[in-house]
This record gives sequence, structure tokens and C-alpha cells, in this order.
Amino acid sequence: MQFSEILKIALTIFFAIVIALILYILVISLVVNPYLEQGTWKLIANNFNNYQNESLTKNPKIYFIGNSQVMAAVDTNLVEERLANQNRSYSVYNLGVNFDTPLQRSIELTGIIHSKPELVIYGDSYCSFSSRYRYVPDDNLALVSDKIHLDNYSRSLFDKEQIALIDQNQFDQLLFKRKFIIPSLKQKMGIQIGGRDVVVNDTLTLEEREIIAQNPYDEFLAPVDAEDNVQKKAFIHIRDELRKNNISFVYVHMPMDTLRVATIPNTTKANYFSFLNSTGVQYFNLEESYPDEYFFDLVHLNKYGKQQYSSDMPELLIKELK
Amino acid sequence: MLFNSIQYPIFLLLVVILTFAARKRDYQLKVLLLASYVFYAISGEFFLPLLVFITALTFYCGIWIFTAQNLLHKRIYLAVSIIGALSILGYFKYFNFVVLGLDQAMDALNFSLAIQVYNIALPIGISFYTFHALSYVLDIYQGKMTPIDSFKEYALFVAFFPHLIAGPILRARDFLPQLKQKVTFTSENIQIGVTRIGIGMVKKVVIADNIAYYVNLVYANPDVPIQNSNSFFIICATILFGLQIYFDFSGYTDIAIGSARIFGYTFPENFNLPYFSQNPTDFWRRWHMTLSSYIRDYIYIPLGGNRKGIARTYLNLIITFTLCGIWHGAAWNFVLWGTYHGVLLCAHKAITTQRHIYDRITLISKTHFGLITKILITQYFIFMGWILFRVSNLDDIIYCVNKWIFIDVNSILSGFTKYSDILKLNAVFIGIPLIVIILLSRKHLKSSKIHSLVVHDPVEYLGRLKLNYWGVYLIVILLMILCLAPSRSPEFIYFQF
Repeated sequence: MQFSEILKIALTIFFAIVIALILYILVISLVVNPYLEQGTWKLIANNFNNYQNESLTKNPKIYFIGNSQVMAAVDTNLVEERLANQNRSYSVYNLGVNFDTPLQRSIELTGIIHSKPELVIYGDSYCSFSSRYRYVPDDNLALVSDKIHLDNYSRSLFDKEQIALIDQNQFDQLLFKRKFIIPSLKQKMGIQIGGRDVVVNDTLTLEEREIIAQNPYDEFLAPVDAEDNVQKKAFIHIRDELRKNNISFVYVHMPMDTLRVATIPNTTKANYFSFLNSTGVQYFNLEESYPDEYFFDLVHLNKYGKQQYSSDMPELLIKELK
Repeated sequence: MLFNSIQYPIFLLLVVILTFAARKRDYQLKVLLLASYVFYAISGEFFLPLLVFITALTFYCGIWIFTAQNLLHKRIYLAVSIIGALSILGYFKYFNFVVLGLDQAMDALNFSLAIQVYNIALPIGISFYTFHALSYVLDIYQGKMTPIDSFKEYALFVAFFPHLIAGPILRARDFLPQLKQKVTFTSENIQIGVTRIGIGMVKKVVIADNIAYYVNLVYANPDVPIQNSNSFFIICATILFGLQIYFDFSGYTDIAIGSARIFGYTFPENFNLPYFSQNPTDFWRRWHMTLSSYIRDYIYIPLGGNRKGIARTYLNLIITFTLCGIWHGAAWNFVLWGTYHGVLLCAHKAITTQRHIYDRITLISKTHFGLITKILITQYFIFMGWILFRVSNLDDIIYCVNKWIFIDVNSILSGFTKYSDILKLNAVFIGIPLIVIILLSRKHLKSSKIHSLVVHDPVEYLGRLKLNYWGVYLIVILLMILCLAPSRSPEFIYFQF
């Protein structure tokens, strides 16, 4: 009698677990997955797909990688067109990702190498080489964990928790997606936390820019120390691996608005350029090469800036191409 | 192994099956003891020999204390067991703290000691199992119990996996008699045990872990130093930390009590709505009850308790609670936190000994308004104490306490305005249902099942539901855990102690 009751309880627990899991999977499939069609992680997933597809072709190609400044600055059609005018036929890809850092990018290194681009142009600025503020968001590792293939050195640069995310299996990934349930439900219900939508104008007003410039916690102000850190190590590793595989590598210090340039501490500038010089990587300093009218905010080019930047790039890079 | 990990329910299920299969009491105890040691071994560094040593030391000292011919010998054996156990605890937990303190003191006097600080890993649960083991020898010394013959039973009392890492703190005289019975699995125990585990999991992973994110934005934010936060953030983070630590620790306790209940064992309760306490003494009768009764019986009363005059009572209270603070962790903020609670208890005692004031307070607290005021005043001081518990840097503590006492009204107003969307949303999702439940439970459903659920014992109520309803409860609990837990679940706060 007692045993049969315990068996009933065990079956109840078992079925409760099964039903709860089915309901959870339904929520993820119907609510979360559509929501996840947008976002930074999707850009990274697309990058992985791009490397996968491009590894099957032999077209000569150029990759622009880096942070959101690269995303905003590179018009691939225009770059291809300008290169074609100089009898250079290349497929050009803008693979920029928000909040990118060398460590974040190192998860794509194997894919980049396998797809064999002729030239990789890494666009970034000070903060990506800081040991503070910049980090690799969990989502950018967890949601693409099935696509990441790290070499041993890159693996050593991530901490224990990040490695756990990179190594997670499909069930872990399914559980990880629960963090998006509430945001996706809020989006479905049209609830907006924190006020207004950002309206993308050609440029922010001077007043708006000044407010941003005065924010001491803006991550573009993250200080760069003289000491080594994982970002610097990841950058050098990317350089080494690309060189080893005969892929040209160029770094572009991305343009900035004068208000932003004025707020970067001199020590950060000195440490940053000292590091770049020590790497032996060919780099272009475009920090003050564009007037303020070419910026949407303090660091991202607007459509005019984008046009100018995309026109200028082929001229600068032509000698790097074989 | 964390209670909130996927491995734990699998481990628990395996132990239940093996214990069930063992059938004979002797084999069952062996299975449980082995499982507890395995649990401990995979929970952290390799400190199992330490646990076995403390168990053996206190077991044999217990026998020697009991069989000693005179008081002097009894005292010697008691001292051996206490010094042996506490010196291990002291080495692992307090060595660096003492050495650094000495070094700083010597520095202030312009002496350089140049003492080496070692990187000593803290064995998980050491504070708890040391206390379990010491309660055994102390009870034997005080004549409250006789030693047991079976080392296996005693070892299981010290190491039983549900309470091993973070309590509740058991007394040998309460738990050892339970081990004399064969483990019999009953449907009632399993249902109530699983129900309790479910509630504990929700408290921990759904409530405490989600709150932790907001607390850490102020108290553990690498980008923004604590001293850049205004009163609004300090007050919000402190209140949220008070809730986090309650749900975290009481969630852990629920899982521990539920796990033990499956095997038919009863653990003492550790919490009884502590944030409804009406004074500091009442708070310590409701918060970490097994620790407060432990320190009362084994520190406060042996020091003389309240039997040696007012001044000595105050001193005893302060000593007892300072030690309670030190037990929590080897850091000055815990010392301050313990002493602060000692002072609060003294202040409360001082007020209650003034008859005319006490009579007035008693009169006022008979009204609803008076009662609520008493609770709010008490919680104001209790939550201020959480600043000392959470913040380790002395300058930061001073800053936060300052912001807690001298509230910057403008920051509160601007904070409410800035986060009005979130506050409104929470008011809708949490506040309104809460008010509805309170109103309904008071006015219309006094004798109903909902009333018994809310007011009496929700675990007993839910655990005795018919199986189909109980299945629905489990589905709801599992869905809450699956859907609402954050992607990273921090360790239980009390694991570090």
C-alpha cells in the first residue's frame, strides 16, 4: 500500500517535470526565439554563418571587424565600388558588432581564418583595450556557444564562468534563454521601461552631445593602463594567428567627435598608442580626421560620415592588398 | 554541490533510492553517512579529513567527559575538544584576519612584524559542523545528554548532508534520537519534503537571485563606487539586501528541512517572519533561530546571562553578539554588525526595564498603528545593520550609514521620478495582488483554505493536497524556477560562513 502510494508520488513528480519542461520549451519557442532574432548576439551568429559560407568560396574578400563604430562607418557597397574603380575586385563585409573587444572577437578567430580573407581591418578605439568597463556579455558567448571553436590560448584568456558559458550544451543553452522571457513578454505587451524611444537623426544636437560628454561613466572613457590585460593579449593573439595564416591585418583607430576626444585622459591616449606601437601592427589614426558634422553622436559616424569614411578607406588600404 | 544546482535533485534521488534499497537501519545509516561524505567531498576542496577529525575528536572527548572521575578531568577533556575544534576553525577562518590586524596595529606603533599571510582556503561549512560537534560535548559536560556508543550515528549527525554546509544548527540531543529509528519512507513525508524543497528553491533562485542583481548594482558595481550612490540607491539597495539575505538563507533552510523530511527526519525551524519582529529581542527569536538559541545556551548563559546584574547583562549581550558577528566572517564589518546587534539588544533591555516607558509602549502597541510603528522602528535599525553586514570597507560603511540616517530627500524624490515606470510596474505586478490577498484573507476568507494557506502553514497545506492538485503545484513551481531564475545563480550567502 505504502509502496504504491510512493510510486504514485514518484510518477506525479516525473510527469510534473515533463509537463513543466514542455511548457517551458513552448514559451521559449513561441516568445523568446522570435525576440532573439534581433540583438548583438544575432550579429555574432550572422558573422559565424558568414565565415562558414565564405570558407566554401574562393572569392577575394576583405573583412571590416570591430565595434559599433565600424558598424556605423562602413558602407560595403561603396568600398567595393571604389576598389573596383581601381581594378580591384573584392567582396567586402562589415562584420562590426556592438561592444566588440579583441577578447569578444577572439571567439570568431577560427572562423575568420578558415574563411581565408585577404585583409582584415580591425576598427576600434581606446576603451576596447581597457581592463575596466569593457567585458564580454554573457549573451554573446552563451547564445552562440555551439558555433565557438577556441584554440587553447584564446581559451586561457576567458574566465571560468565565461568558459562554462562557451562549453554549455544545448540543454544549458535552452535554460539560458529564460533570461529573455520577461524582456520578450514586455516587448510583446508593448511595455517600455525607462522612457522614450531613441530617434535616429542625422546628428544629435550640441546640447545632447554635451550631456553625453559630461557622463563620467560613458564606457568610451574606460581608462587604458600601461599594464597588460586580456584585451591586449587577445589583440596580439589575433595578430599572430592572422599573420601565421598569411592574412593581412590592419588596425584603424576610429574617428571621434572633438567633444569626446577632449574628454579622453592623456594617460589613456599615451598608453593606448604605446601599446599599438609595441604590437608592430600597421595602424591608421583617424581620431580627428572627420569634422563634428559627420557624427551622429560622439563616436558614431552619421550617413555623411559613413560615405566619407567608406570612400577614404580604399585609398588607405590599397597598398595592403596583394 | 549546490542545493540550487541540477546535480542536487539527482543526488538526492539516488540517495533516496539507495536508502530505500538498504532496508536495514544499520545499512541505511551507512548509506546516508557515505552519501554525506561524498556530498561534502564534491562540494569543495578536499577537506573531508578535517570533518572526520573533528567528528572523531568530539566523539571520543564526549565519552571521556562522561566517564571522567572528577570535574577537573571533565574540564580537561572539554577543553581539549573545544580548543581542538576551535583552533582548526580559527586557523582556516581567522588566521589571516588576526595576522593582518596585528600587522596593522604594529604598523601604527611603528613596528614592522613582516608576518607572512597565506592563501588559506576556507573549508566549506566548517563553522556549522564545528558548532554541531561542540553542542554534543557541551551537552554531555552540562549533563543534558549521555554519549552514544555508535560512532556511525554520531558521524551522521555531524555530517548529514542537508544541514552540513549551512545549517540549520542541530543539537545532538534533538537529532541523535531520530537516528535510532529505521528510515521509513512515507508518502506524507515525501510530499511535504518535496513541497518544502520547491518553496525553498523559489525563494532562492527566483526571489533572492533576482534581487541580488539590483543589490550588486550599488554594493558590488566595479564601474560605480559605493560612495557615488545617493540616499535613494543606498536605501533601496539596503532594503533589497535585507530581502535577499532572508530569501536566500530561508530558501536554503527550506531545502535542508525538506530534504531531511523526505527521510523522515525533523530539523528545527530557522526563521519565523523576522521582518515582522517588534523589537531587537523579538528579531533574534525569529532570525536564524538555531544560531541565536545556540549562542544563548552556550555563550550568553555560561557568561552569566542576566543573573549578575544589569551592567554584566549588557556586557554579556555585547560579548555574545560580537562573537556571533565574528562567527559569520573574519572581517571587521561582521564584528561591527555583531556588536551593533548587541548594543541594540542592550538598548531594548534598557527601555523595557524602565517600567513607565514599557507600560506606555505596551499600551500603544495594542493599537494597529502602534504595532505597525513598533515593527517599522525595529526594522529601521535591523536594516541599517544590514549595511554593516554587506559593506566591508569602513569608509563605505560610514558613507552608507550616513546616507541611511541623514536622508537626502531630493535624491529620493528624483529617484522615484526617474524610476517611476519600474515602480509603477512593480506596484501593479506585486503590490496590487498582495493587497488583494491581505484584504481577502482578512475580511472574507477567515475560515477558508486560502486563509489556512496564508496564515497557518503553507507547506503542510500544499504538501497534503490531493495528488492531482499537488502535481499542478509542482508544475507551477518548476515553471517559476525554469522561467524566472536568472541565468547565473550566485552561491548561497551563508556558504561563505
